[in-house]
Amino acid sequence: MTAEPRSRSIRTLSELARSGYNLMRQPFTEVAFEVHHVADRPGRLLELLRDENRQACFLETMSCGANGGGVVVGTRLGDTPGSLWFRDQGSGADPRIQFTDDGGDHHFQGVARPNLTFLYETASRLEGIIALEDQPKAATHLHTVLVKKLIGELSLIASTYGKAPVLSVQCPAQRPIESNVELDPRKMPPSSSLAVRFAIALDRPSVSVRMELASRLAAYCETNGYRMWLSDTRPGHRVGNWFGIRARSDVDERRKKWLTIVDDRIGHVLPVTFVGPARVGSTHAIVSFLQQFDEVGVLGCSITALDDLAFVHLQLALQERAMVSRRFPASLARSDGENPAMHLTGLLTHFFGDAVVVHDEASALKLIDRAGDYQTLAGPVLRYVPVQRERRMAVWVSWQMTRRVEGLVTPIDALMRAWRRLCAENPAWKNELAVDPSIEYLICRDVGNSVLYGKGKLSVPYGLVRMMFPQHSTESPQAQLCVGLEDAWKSQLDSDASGTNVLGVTVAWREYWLGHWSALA
Amino acid sequence: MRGIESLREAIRTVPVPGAPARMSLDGAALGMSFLDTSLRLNHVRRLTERITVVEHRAARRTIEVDVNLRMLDEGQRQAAALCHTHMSHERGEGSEQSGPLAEKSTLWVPVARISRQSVAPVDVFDGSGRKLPRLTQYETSRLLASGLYRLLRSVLMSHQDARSETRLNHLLQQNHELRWLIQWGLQTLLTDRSQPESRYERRTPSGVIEGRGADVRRVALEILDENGKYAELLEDYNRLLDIAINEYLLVVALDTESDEHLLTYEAPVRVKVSDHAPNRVARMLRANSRGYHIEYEGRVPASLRSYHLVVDVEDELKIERMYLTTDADRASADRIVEDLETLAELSGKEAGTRDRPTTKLLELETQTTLRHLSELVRRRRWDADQAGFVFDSSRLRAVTDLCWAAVSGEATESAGGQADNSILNHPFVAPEKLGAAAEEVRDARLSDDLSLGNDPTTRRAHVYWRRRDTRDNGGAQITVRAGLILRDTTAAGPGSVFWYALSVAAIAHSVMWFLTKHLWPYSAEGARNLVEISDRDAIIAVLLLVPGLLYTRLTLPDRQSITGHLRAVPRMAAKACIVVMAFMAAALAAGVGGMGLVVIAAITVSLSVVAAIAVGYPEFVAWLARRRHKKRSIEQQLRGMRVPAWVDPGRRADGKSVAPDVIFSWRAS
Repeated sequence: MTAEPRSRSIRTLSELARSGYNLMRQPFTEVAFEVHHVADRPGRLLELLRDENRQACFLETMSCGANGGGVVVGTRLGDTPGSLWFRDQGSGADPRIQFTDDGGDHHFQGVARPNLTFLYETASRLEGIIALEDQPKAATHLHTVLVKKLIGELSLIASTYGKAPVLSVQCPAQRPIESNVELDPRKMPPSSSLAVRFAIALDRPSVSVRMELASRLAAYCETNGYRMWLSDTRPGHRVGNWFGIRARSDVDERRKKWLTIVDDRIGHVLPVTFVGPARVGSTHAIVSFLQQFDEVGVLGCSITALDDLAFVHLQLALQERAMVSRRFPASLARSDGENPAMHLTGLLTHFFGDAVVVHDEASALKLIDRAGDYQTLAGPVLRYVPVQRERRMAVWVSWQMTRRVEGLVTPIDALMRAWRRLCAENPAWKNELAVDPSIEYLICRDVGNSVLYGKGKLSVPYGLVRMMFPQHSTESPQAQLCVGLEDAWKSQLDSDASGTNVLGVTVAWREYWLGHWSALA
Repeated sequence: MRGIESLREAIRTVPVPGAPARMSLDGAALGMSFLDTSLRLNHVRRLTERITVVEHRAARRTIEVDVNLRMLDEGQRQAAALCHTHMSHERGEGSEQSGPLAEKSTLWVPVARISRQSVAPVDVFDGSGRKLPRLTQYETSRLLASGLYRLLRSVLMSHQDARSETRLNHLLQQNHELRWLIQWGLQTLLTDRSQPESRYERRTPSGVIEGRGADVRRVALEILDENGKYAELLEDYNRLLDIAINEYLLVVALDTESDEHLLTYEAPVRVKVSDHAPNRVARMLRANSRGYHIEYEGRVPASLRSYHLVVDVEDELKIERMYLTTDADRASADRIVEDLETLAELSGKEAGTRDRPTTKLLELETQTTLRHLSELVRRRRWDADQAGFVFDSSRLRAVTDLCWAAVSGEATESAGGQADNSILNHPFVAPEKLGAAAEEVRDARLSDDLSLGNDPTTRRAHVYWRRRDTRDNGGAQITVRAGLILRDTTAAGPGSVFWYALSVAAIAHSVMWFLTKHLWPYSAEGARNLVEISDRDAIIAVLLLVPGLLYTRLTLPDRQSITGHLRAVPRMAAKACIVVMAFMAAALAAGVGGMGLVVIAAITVSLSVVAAIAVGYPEFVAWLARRRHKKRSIEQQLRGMRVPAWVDPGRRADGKSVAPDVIFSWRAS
């Protein structure tokens, strides 16, 4: 692979200047952020958004919930980029993280120095989905080790062969929907599977670079029997269109080689988030440090970059039989200037005692080199909630909004009210079925010109959808649900004073239909 | 010298300061916002360039910018408003400002970037012709220097070395002089009228060692080394610094009472002359038949939405044809070429393997690349259709085959009799064809688009270009090139000179005929028959007055004008005729007689006839050509102009094109 200088577009350079402007409106060139580790349940995000104790609103936000745990990350908390804050510990001291334990939920507020040259948000990317297993009834320790190894391999390939950062990793994720699923609803994939969805930035989006990275990933999937799809890059296709690379899953046959790992049920998960300047290789450094601990797997993850800051959120699955303690001490919730290697070691030593020994010094040094200035936010220990037995379908939503004081609460609140109204007005509705949809994934980004673009994935019980919307000759139940929800959402926004700032709302059960109205007309 | 290298040179040459440079936080934010806005130009709806060709190799360039303040985003508006207060304080005007700016709210908005190579003053006028206040280049440069220093510091702070005991940490946290040196270097580099173009070096004399100042300078230079540890981190900063160093930002105060503003300013246009004297003579002889070729080269920001080029010429001229070509598709075309070459190589290796993940990857990449190729070709085909000529694909055989395979939806029949939709099995898709297509795209310059002016032929023509909604623009600017052919509208010009030359020949011949009483006087017999001339004054009067009177009735254009250039041969022919006639009259006045007078008369007559032929023959040929082809086709008109190679495949084969009479450019050659 030839190493040629990066060809930067004018847009990328203006992004660098824009980032500089946003930071220079502050006395210190840092970005404020919030991270919330909460127990996952329907409506929890909305409670956080509505929290009156918080002075700022959520604008650029990432939220996800799975396995009983949820994380909400927000930056650019304010209506304008110009609101000042002050620091009382001088310009040279490490930023201080404010930590609150709110009855089992951990809330962190702090600032971090961004990497202004991390200009990959608008760059070309290699996106894909790798499915480990369709939908295990309950994840085991073996699954978490496989996820950890997969993320490690993924980040290694990105940083070593692509010299590029991992822009996002999401686990669990929905598998691609086949084209003929309307004819056979049984083929519709569940809202989330044991799959890893990733995006790697590409400096030079040429065939040679893409082939280099994708063929290595495909070879890894071939070895382990995973299914793999890549985003369809052909003109006329968009995000959510997938091209099958390896369609067959033969995990069970290949699992034999993992039998040396003692399979164990999972009882608890420990959410850990690393925050720091986004840079190439930081994700790989963190995950490869964790590789040395057999007692620790990764059950879920949400890795993203907001405002030139990297947020690496991992749901660590702790092997039950090896744990010596299940209590989480508040002193370990934040790193307070400690590098991630030391803080992680301290955390694991607390849970597993002296059984945890750092035997890979090289990975520790690498972690300090690539992410030594990252802050570690951890806890609480949450009970693992396996995938519900009922079949759930994904409903994708998207919207655009201008910067407003109310922030994200306006579209999300209107969406939830729209869902309740849709249910209440349906003749087949029964009150005992009342349940809000789960927000499994949500991202809201500033796309320039004071416009924020949001996208989210809800999950609703498929049985409920079938009950409310019987099979129609022209429209499937899921299509009827999306049309109804979209209309109700628009209606709620129209009746809301601040709803006029939310535009282009769409609801679809296929991701690539977002941005287009749901109705067939 | 560019970017960081210029900064390094500034650091090498400014003294190590004892205090920080005066830089304000607000100024830094403003500098970055102005740089962002001038790069994005999201508030500029359209840029119009008006070229007025005033004479041969001289033109004026006026630029019109359509600005909509509503298209500024919140942060940009905030900075534009903040600038008003900031500049009042900087200028010592205080808050009690008087004058028009104090009465109504204004926004300071960057509207263009101008090359620093230009030293001409720029005055910006609004739609009503009122001159608008603007920030001086010094004021803008100071804002940029503050912003770029803080940006540099922020970029370096994000490196992991910033928090450990390293030189970087030393720079950022501990050594004040080191930081001040970079501050002064940046400020000097941006605010000085001139920039360094070469490195100033001097050998260290013997008997001295590195002192404190040299040590500080060395550490600063090591951190900013283009091949050093932080080079990759500073790569984008380097590009931004490069723009700030080489371009001025034009920042003007706009009234917020109206969102729409039409701004006008004049910009210099430079002339490139590169041809040799023999070419000039040959072109002059053919000027009237081929017309006057003008080429204009400009550069517009890659983020610009639309661009309009208007050309005005003298009253006696008309613009026969005008085209505009840009390299807006350069990045995507280059990538297609690179990808086709890669696919050609990979397809050869993968041939024969089936159902492997890498084959599926190759299938995806091949389909993607070929669909991008077909889109590129479609755009060029539609460019040709819009211009009114047929896209000639005879020399793009591999390209057209591959495009067909990509979009036709054709499949091959598998062993089981079912349709196999894999493009890799399509008979048109073969490694050698992929490689050939890459060459064809490159040779035909499919990266260059074409817009043709199709207005009625008048003394004004315009072409329009609009940006495609794409992120493929690889650079900061797009190169635009326009070409036009001018023709003389005064058809009587060459004809009158033709008849004038014949008249001169006839007068000289008649005089000799009457003096020798012989119809063909240019012989020894004619000399012997020459009568004694009793009244030489009368004959001299006839020889001088009549041609002189006729000469004054000729419409000969000014030598510096374009019509003068187009009618150079008739102009010289007329002058030659009057000169030889004066020569003959002088001979008579001097009493030359006999064979001497006969020879002089023969020269006069023959030169006048040659002049008439030189003027009349090209006109006759052109008249014949016009009769044969009632109207020249667009391809014929474009042939010989430096259009993209795909427009004129014939020219592509031999690679020749006719150099224009003049090239106007935004920058010096």
